Amino acid sequence: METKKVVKGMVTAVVFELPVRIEGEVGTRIRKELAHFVEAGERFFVYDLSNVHYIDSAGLGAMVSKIATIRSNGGDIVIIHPTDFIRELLQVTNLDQVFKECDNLDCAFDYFRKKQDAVSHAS
Amino acid sequence: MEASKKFEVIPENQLDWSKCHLPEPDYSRPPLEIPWHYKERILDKLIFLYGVDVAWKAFLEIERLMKVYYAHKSPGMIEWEKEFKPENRFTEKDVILITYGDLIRDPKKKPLETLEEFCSTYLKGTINTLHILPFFPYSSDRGFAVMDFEQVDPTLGTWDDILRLKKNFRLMFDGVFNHVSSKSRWFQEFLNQNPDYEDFFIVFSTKDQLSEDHLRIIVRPRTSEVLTPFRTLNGERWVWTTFSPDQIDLNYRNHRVLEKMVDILLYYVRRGADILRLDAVTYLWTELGTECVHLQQTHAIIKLFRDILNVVAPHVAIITETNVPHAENITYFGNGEDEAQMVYNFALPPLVLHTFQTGDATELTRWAASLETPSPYTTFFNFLDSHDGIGVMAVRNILTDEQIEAMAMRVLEHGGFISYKRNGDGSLSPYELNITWFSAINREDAEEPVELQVQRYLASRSIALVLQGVPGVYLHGLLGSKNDADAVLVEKQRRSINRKNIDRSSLFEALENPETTTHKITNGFVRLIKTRIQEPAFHPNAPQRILALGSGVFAVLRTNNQEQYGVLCLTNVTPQKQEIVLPLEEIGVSTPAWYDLISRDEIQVRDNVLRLTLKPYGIYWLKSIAGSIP
Repeated sequence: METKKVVKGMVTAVVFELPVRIEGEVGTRIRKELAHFVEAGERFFVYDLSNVHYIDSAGLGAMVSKIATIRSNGGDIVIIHPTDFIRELLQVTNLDQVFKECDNLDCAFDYFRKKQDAVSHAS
Repeated sequence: MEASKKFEVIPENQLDWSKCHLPEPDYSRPPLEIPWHYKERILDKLIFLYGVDVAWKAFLEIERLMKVYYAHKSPGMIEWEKEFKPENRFTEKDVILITYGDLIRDPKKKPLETLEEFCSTYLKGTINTLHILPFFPYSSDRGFAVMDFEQVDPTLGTWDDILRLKKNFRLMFDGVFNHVSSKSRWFQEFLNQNPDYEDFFIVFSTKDQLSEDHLRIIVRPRTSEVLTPFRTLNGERWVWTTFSPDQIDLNYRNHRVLEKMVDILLYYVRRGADILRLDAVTYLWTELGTECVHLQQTHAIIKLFRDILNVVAPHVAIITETNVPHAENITYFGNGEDEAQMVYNFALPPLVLHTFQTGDATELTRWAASLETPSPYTTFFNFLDSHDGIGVMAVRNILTDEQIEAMAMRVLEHGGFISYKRNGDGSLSPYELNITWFSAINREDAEEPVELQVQRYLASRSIALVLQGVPGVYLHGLLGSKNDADAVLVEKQRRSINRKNIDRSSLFEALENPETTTHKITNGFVRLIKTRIQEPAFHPNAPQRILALGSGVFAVLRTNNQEQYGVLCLTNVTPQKQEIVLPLEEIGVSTPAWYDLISRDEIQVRDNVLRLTLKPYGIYWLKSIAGSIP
């Protein structure tokens, strides 16, 4: 699993490039790194699911383990490139209604930018 | 049979229920005479539903069914019922356990025998009522797609097993009267186009007969299509399915459907039901051009059931299960004397959850202060968890959309899931939160002592035990079970998260081992229940006053008017200590000494001011030792 901070214009997002299987130790790492970045003040996250073919229940739990905090900070999590199998899994658990799905990273940043603008207008 | 023989009236707990109803009707006795005013009430409702001509036909059939039921009652039962006092139908002794018949499994026994063993071993003298979720043969939705209303699912046990449970417990049965399984004989006969069953369901020739305008206003708890196509002998038909394609709504516009359901209702009474839970009753009557929920016809049918039971089985109560906004939910009390005796207090679980998630009891306090029931014959069913998720519809006008959204997001963080309903404009809103109560209240990955989690859990549960009403707990709630998220993925059902089957021997081992969380939770819970059932101030009709003592504390004063004392129930909803300084004159109590019903500790009052410290998630149930309550 690789995690990197990507900056485009005024928006910074943390991109998780997730491995083939999200289970066991991978889930624990997602949970820890997500907590670390949220604590550091990051608000925008992308899960790149291009390679993912399996997610267990603990892995799903890890992916949403900071969703309330992120949303209350005005941020969000976006998924990109889910396979059909993963999309079905997200539908079963209704997490497809929680994660915003974007076609690619650029589209994710457009979404984050609008969200950031909306928050700054509101404040 | 000697109808005139005098029978000694024996207490309910000594009544032999196996002899309350005769296996064969006794027609040698004079038949039931329905009092005139009840005849009028029943007939009025039938006229409202069906018009005069059909109403008479329906009345004669319902009268016949009531007479048949009455002929099954034993003389002892008839005598016992004469002593029944409706205002004491529910008391402080009533606590309901909600469970599936097969939640606890033992490979060597029938599930209902295993349930009986568990309940007799651990719950006798603590919980007095069992709600065994639908135990009939079914095709889906874990029992709520009933194939045969009159049989016990043979994989669970038999009617004798149900009767055996009744020796030690009152029983609550499900009346799944809104719909039947697509595999039921009734629906199969419809598919065969048997004319007797043609009007049993709500049927359209084409999908387009239900216009977009109609669809937009229909209120439904699911996102699936309301019409499902089926192949019948005479071609395709589109059938109304509020919940799922396997759950076919019954057509109550057909009086024969209503008559069938009255027959089944009375059959359940004969089989030992003390409480009848009307499942999903909100959707009973369908009228295009309306929201198809809470229609006056639906209320009329529930009232009709109540009239029938009042005449032939007054000890049997009706509870309505309506996961709808609170103000609409309580309309099922009717005027307090003519509809349900008990309604699910659907707003309570999300409000308690919100309170513990935020450490702020403000919203719960405000709402609880507004609670009232219309008569001494009605009360709330105060549950926090059930086989379904934590419904959020009831708090739509109590919490803001942002608060509900935040609650749902925290549930995700705690490993739960969200189920949605589709709104008229096509958007989705959270309908229920799928999570066990333990996991909702505690975060499994939190690095905190298990004792704190147990205390937080018991604090949340204590609220449902002290509020006016009858408390209920789901078996997984009693045991403090954690999420079974794997089952959600395997069974592709979000509700499976809280429906895990438990191995009997592992459970009994855990309950006997003081080191396990299961033991700590269950022991603590049972201790709270045992304290509650000894205290008359917790009678559902004993007055309650909600006190605003700050956002960190939920406070209720229950009073026993007869003996002039009160029980002050304090719950710390935060992980911090809470200092309480309460001038007793503010609550109209002048009592020098109090003691905690739970710990038996005495609390001294100086200068008529109660001062105490609540530990994190601490609970006090303080009983005044002397003094006066206004």
